Amino acid sequence: MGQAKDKAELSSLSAQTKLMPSGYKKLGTVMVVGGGIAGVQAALDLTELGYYVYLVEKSAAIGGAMAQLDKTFPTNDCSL
Amino acid sequence: MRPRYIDADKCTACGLCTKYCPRHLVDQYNEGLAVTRPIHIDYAQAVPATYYIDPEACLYLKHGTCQICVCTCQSKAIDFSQKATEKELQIGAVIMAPGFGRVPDETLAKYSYGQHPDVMTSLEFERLLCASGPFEGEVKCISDRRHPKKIAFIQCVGSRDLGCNNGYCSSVCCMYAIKEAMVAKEHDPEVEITIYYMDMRTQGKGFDAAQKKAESMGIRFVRAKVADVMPWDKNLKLTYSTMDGKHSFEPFDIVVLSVGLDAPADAKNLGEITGFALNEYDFCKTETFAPLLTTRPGVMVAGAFQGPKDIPESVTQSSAAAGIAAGLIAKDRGKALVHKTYPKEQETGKDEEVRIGVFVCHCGINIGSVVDVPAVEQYTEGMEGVVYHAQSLYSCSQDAQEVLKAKIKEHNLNRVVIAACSPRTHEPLFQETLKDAGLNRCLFEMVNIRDHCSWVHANEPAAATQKSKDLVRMGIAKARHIQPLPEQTVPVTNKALILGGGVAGLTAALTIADQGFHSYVVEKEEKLGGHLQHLSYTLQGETVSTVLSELTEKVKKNKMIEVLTSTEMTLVNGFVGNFSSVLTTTKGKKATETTIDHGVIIIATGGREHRPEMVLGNPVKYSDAIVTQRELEQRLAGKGKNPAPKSVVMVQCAGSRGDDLNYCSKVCCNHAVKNALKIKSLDPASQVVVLYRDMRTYGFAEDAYREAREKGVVFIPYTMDNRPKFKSSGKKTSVTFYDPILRDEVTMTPEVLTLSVGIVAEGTEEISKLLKVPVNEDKFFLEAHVKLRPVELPVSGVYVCGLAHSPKPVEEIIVQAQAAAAKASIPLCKGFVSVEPTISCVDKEACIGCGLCESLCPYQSIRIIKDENGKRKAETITASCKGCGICASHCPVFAISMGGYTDEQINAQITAFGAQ
Ligand SMILES: Cc1cc2nc3c(=O)[nH]c(=O)nc-3n(C[C@H](O)[C@H](O)[C@H](O)COP(=O)(O)OP(=O)(O)OC[C@H]3O[C@@H](n4cnc5c(N)ncnc54)[C@H](O)[C@@H]3O)c2cc1C
Ligand code: SF4
Ligand code: SF4
Repeated sequence: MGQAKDKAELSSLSAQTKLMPSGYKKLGTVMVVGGGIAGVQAALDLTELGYYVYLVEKSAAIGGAMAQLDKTFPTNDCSL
Repeated sequence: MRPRYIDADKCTACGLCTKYCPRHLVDQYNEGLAVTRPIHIDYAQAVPATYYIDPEACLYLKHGTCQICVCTCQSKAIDFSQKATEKELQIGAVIMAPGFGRVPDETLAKYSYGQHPDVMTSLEFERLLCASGPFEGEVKCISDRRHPKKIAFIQCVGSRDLGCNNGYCSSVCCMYAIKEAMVAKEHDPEVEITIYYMDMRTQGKGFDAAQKKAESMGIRFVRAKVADVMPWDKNLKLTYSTMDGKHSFEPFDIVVLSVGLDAPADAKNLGEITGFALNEYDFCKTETFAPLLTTRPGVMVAGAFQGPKDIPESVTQSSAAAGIAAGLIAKDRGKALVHKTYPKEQETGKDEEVRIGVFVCHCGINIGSVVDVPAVEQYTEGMEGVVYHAQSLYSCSQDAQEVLKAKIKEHNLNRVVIAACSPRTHEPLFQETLKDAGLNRCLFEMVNIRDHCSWVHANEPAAATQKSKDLVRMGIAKARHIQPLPEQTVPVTNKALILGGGVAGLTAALTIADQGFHSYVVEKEEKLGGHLQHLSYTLQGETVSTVLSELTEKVKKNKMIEVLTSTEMTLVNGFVGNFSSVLTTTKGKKATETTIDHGVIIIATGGREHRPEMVLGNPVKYSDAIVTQRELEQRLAGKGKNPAPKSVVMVQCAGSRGDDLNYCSKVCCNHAVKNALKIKSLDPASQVVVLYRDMRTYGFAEDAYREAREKGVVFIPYTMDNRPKFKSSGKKTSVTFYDPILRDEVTMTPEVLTLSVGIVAEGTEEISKLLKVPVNEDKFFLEAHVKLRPVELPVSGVYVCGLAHSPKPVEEIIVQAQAAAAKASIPLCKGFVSVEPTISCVDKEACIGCGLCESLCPYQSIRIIKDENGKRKAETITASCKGCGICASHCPVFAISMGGYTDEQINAQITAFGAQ
């Protein structure tokens, strides 16, 4: 997690993000909407691949539904 | 951007504010089963670890009163002046991962949800099971806190139900119900658990085994439809009907509703803002052969929003989506990255004076309220090598890092010992600070006086303090011997080798080419395409041959991809970043060998159709009248005069799920439904009967299953105790089976008997030997971690996708291939692999070349070579060593030492334990 945290900006953005069709100026950036396990993994992989990531999550913490689970199949280890 | 009202840079997450905040608030994180305060954090490990204030509940933000938190916060982090802000970003690509939403309460009302507190959703039950949940993990009835004796799970609540507009199957609830039932049973072995279901859909890799285990633990599975749940005295009355039309009821203490995954509540809004289309259920609309592309170019989707799915698949999709996004803007790779620079590392010679600084942390009250921190700090005074000691309230806070840096400079420290919490979470942070201060990060030792002292001995402060002193003394003893270790990197050959030229291999090659890297695709047959060559159409109606020829054309035209057909890998040497493989191409009788260098390997060798000679105890001879689903598909798609047979009996799980294979082949239920629909569209009068154990048309395929039933396809379940019997006479084969609705045996003599034969692994064992990567008992490759690293193998630099991993439909194969390619591209992009300093190191003098270490290393990271004198000596492969220490602990002559854990260091620690 360490790696993404300093590169990926983590903020509690609202869902009212507008998407502009124009070409982008800040090169090499990707936005990930939703900070559940899917969003976090995508952000981590993108930073590893060499891109700057804006991870947008509407609630106060990342993790999504997985953070609420006690243990998770199939390995039944703790989710956190 | 909405305000937290707390300055994230100052907040240390101590939790004092939550203690003092006077107002109660229902805890949403605990599914409303517990209370918290307006100023809080959802859970202790939340990221970011910053508290926040719920503006709807806060007395100050609502009524302008209170502000108690402002004076309790010692780090002055509370800032009520924060305002919501808007940000405009310029970005190259977007990945949508907003997850799933909740099934509305109205759908749950018929089960008395909301009327009786002991009827709860599976998510609420999940909180109940959790140690951080409302009853600290004890399962109790919410109504009167009694321990339940009987628990029921109701499956498919809010799924497979057109009544609530969710026609699809949520794919995960069967499996999580089994998990929750098993955990509940572990908490209390006496509790009786019944799961009411229509089909048990445990189609994932290894999931059927979980169901078997649940059965052996005494969990009862009942195939029935639950009509309703009603309060009944102190209990709940559950009424259900079984297939034979019988109605029954049973009392329970707790009823858990296995709620499905709905589309996110704001899906429509997201679709409109972003400009992509949704499917009929408000999930993101995608295509079979482009499963992660939304209808808007540049916007990808991943996770449960793409369709209900579990964590392993969500993780796979995210890596794949990352790979696609990266491919789109590959020319800008690295342009926006911020690189951190460090001051030059100061030299720390072996003979230099040891100057240790000790920092003891209060961790707010977490350690300080139990352990006498000042006493522990004072205790280190005068110890050999200790030149500075101090305490801090939060040694992990931002300002504490500044202090640490300043003290290192001021006292010229060359070893740092921090007594605080767990190195698992905090060691990287402190090591980073050491690097910032110009010290090698290995000159650091962490002592965990939180978990080991203040937590486990919370009621014995004196003993906890004594133990803290002991541990600190041992840490200092070790610190005297620690040495700087070099930061190593190994360069990478930026080419990929892809084994297998089926849809997985070709997709992976294209994804890697999009990142700008070269790959070799090795196919043992003469033609590319693999299995897809034998399929004609998909469940969604796409024509496979056009898609496949487009795909092969694209690969052949791509200058970054070199295709080698009639070729197999015969030898491989090297390690991540630096593999060298021998490829053997056979043309007629001539075999030629080529050697290529590459940095990574993707295994995409597929599997093959199973062809059992014995099905459910019946001997089988394949003919025109007894075919597999694939053969039936070819007949149906063919140009023959009567492609559709007049009558067909399909037998599911012919070979799978314990017949002779031990797993579910995952594709055959969809395949059967697909062919049944095709027959009905060719000839609506044709009779189709499907004999099944569980119809596993998970996800949106459930729609096709429903359509098939509507069109008159008859689905009849069988059990392993009462299996269908085949009898052949001449060209005809009759099938006898038990019909639970008629409650009698039925015999049919269909024109064609179709067997859903399943999929087996092929050639995995040879590759497993060549690459030294493991396969599971079913001969499929075993991934490094099922949930977190689903496409990586335990050997660094080797990835897997497609049928070689496990049976799965083509849509999932494409995603997996893209994910494997994305993961494999990481070392290619970086151009190097970095090596943890804590790896094994061989003393060549002492080594006797016995080779024990080589045979034991689980990562193939130590090998025997011949030295300049021709003597056998062990050598660590630094690029792939994981530092597990198995080699060092087994070496008979102690020739191997582990960086950061040398014998000298460990002995010093043990000796210090004995000394007072
Ligand atoms: C009771 C239950 C038990 C389960 N148990 C298991 C299990 O044991 N093993 C397993 O593999 N799977 C399990 N699952 C499934 C698992 O929860 C999902 O596979 C997984 O959480 C999906 O991850 P995700 O990231 O796609 O979605 P989510 O976890 O839902 O994350 C989505 C995130 O996006 C945020 N978001 C949403 N909309 C927006 C927006 N517009 N702007 C910004 N942010 C937004 C949300 O706040 C959330 O944080 C279970 C599911 C349930 C319901
Ligand atoms: S069949 Fe599908 S919807 Fe029903 S409980 Fe199982 S996974 Fe969920
Ligand atoms: S027929 Fe195939 S997909 Fe269906 S349950 Fe049996 S093995 Fe699984």
